[in-house]
Amino acid sequence: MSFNCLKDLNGIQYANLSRLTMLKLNNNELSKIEFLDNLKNLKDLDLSCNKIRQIDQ
Amino acid sequence: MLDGISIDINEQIMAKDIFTGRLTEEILLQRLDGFTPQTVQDLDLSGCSLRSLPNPRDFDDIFNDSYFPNLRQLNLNKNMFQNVKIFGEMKKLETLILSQNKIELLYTTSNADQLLGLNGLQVINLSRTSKYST
Repeated sequence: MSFNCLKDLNGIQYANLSRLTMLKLNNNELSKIEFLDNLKNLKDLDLSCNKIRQIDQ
Repeated sequence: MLDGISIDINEQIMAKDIFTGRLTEEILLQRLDGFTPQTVQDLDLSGCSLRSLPNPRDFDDIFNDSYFPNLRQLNLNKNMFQNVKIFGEMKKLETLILSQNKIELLYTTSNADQLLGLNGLQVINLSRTSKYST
C-alpha cells in the first residue's frame, strides 16, 4: 500500500493544456476523472490500474 | 570536523536536507551531454533523486525559459518530486515525463499557478507516482 500517490486531478483545470494529445495516468490511485473536458485535443489517455469504478456520461 | 564527537541524528537530517536531492552542476553537465542549457532540446534527468526542496526557488530558477529556452522534452522519471510547483514558464516544452515520482497533488493553495506556464505541452506522463520511488 502506497502512502502518497496521485489520487485526484484537481489543479489540472487551471492549466492551459489545449495542445495536449497524450496523458498517461496509469498506476495511480485516481478514483474519479474530473476536469478533463478542457483537453480538446486529447487523443491518448491511459487510466489503467487506478481505482475508477464508474465513468459518468 | 575530526574532533571525535559523533554526529547526532539531527545533524544527519540537516546534512541530508542541505545536500541531497539537488541538481548539482556535475549532474547537469553530464546530462547535458555536450549541449548548453541554452541549446539543449531534450534533457534526461531521470533517476537523479531530485526532490522538491524546502526552498522552492532551487528549481524555479532552473525549469524556465530563461535557463532552458529551447527545451522541448524533459524527462524527470524516477525522481522524488512531490508537486509540480517546480516549473516556471517553458513555452516550447512539448513532453514532460514525471512518472515514478512522489506526486500527490497537482494543485496546492500555496501556489495556484503551477503548470500554467507550460502551454505547449503535448504529452504528460504522470504514471506510477510513488509506487516505485522509495
